[in-house]
Amino acid sequence: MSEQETVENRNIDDISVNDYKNITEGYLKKIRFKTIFLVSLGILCIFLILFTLRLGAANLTYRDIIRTLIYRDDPVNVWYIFEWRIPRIVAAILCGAALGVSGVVMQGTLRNPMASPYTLGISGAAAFGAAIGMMFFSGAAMESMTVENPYVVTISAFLFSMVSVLVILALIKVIDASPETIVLAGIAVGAIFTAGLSFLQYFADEATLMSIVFWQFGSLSKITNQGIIILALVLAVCSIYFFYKRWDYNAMESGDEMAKGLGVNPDRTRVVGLILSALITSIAVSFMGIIGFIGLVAPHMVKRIIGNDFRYTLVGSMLLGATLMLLADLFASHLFPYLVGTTLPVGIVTSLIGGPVFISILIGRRKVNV
Amino acid sequence: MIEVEKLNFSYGKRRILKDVSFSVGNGEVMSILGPNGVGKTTLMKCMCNIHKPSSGHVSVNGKSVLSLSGKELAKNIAFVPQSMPRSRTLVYDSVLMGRKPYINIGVTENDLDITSKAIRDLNLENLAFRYIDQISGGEFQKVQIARAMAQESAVMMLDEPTNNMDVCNQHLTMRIASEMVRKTDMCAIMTMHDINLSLYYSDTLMFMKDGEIVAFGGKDVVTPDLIWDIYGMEVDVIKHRDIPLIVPRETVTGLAAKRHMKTHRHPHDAADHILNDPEC
Repeated sequence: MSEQETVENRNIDDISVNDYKNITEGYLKKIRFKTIFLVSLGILCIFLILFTLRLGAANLTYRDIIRTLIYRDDPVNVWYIFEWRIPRIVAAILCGAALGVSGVVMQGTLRNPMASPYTLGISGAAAFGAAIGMMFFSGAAMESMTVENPYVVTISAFLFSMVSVLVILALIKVIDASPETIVLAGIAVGAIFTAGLSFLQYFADEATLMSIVFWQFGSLSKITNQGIIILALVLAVCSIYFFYKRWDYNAMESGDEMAKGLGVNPDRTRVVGLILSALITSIAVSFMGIIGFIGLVAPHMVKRIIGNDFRYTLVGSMLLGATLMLLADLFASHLFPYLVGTTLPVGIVTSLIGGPVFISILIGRRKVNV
Repeated sequence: MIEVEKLNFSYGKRRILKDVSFSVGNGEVMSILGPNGVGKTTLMKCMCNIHKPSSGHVSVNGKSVLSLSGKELAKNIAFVPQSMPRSRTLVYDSVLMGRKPYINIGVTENDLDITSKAIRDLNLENLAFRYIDQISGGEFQKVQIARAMAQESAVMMLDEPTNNMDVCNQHLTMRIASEMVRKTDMCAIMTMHDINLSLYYSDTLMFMKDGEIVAFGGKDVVTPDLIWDIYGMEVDVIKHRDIPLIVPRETVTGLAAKRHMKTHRHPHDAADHILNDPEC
């Protein structure tokens, strides 16, 4: 039967169950694909964890690692694995997941593909805050490139990143900005903090200047165990909230009016979503410095592959963020030293790779739209 | 059935809606007509609490809805805005969104069945797994109607559903919407600009001017006087297959000249203006 005949013969009243069950079947297939994608990302992540766990100066075999994990018999290996490798891997996973999930929530609630912790000025404000901490609250060390009092710096970075969020929220309230234009406000706020940072750098003494500059290179080795615990707890709580609100975010993809028509309060959802994602980001950035592009690229890549559905993109962006961070760390602290002889801060790698990846996503997107 | 009683809305000191009252029965399609800026869309938004009306009542099947929570209101009234941003969302997911007010933890089989039925009823099977940023304007509008159907509410409100559509899609959309409304015994309210399209597919027409209802009733409410009063345009009302339709009394250029004469004193200037005016 030709397609035309099928359409003509259809009668709305003639309800044949198979007719729509086929559509449901098709949808369940799509859902299965999305689930498989998430599981694959998870497996890739685990594979990278196991791979990275074995790499490094001490030549450990998997047998050594498993034995150490279970029996904890060799103190050197225990120190090496528990104090050095695992915290770094956990930091990479948490940081990637934090940036990924904040990026996807910011992009969704602001309906702007350019929204990310970096473009909203949160990272810039954190860098300014860190510099303030180092210069005025004796956070910087006398010896170059380290931070003497990391908590002062971290707290100061966190406070200033929250200030940037408050400024953006105030702007939303005062100028009644549409969600699409909030990113512009974020860019403006970020620019002010960047200018402030340059100002501080200009007047800083040499040692402090080096500390400030080094702090900005996001690095996984900065975070302390307490930092990891704080980030993990906040990330867990916020992610559960985001997941609980997944349908609200989905509704907001069709605009505020549509969302209101479906019983969602878009303004409240947006403000709470922004505050929580900014909170996660500012904690991550305060502990680890600026790690660019993960928050922008991970959600885009996930949406490219499985489409826009917060039921899947939230988890997907976290997993892909973590995977990208593990890959970037693999490159920065294992592959690059192997080739050149020195390690790189991971923030430089993410920005170096993230830019071109983002451009290629944009080109791919254009092709699809044509 | 939806009943609106003395609905008022002000924006600052400006009164947008003035004591608007009307009712639409089950299985009926009503069109709200009138020039731009008379409060058609505002009226719709007030009816589903997107704008908070300053006073008045709206009840669906006897139940007052304005005091309900957003979720409960959505179960009574489905609203399709005039324009919506399009994202990389599956057509199926977009229709499934209509089930949002009913979803507590996860999607049930019933939700999927209702969504699939709505997609089937609007002949969207072939598009079900495409992204909504890849389909045409007419198809997108059909997706929105399917979404409103999946919402299973007693009232469906469409704000200019035939916006940006070619003539065939306009009729197709209106036919599908009105057929679905009659079949499911819900009631539909649409804001429209095309009077003839409204005459074809609606049971009731409501004309608004300056936030007030000027005329309300069946197809015979459309008269040359009414159109002159509301739009300032001279028309004849003719019958085609028993459906009254309006036809402009003069050519468009003549009408445009008349309108321009009001603002330009010299007919000569007006003629120049028309020649340079791309709209004429």
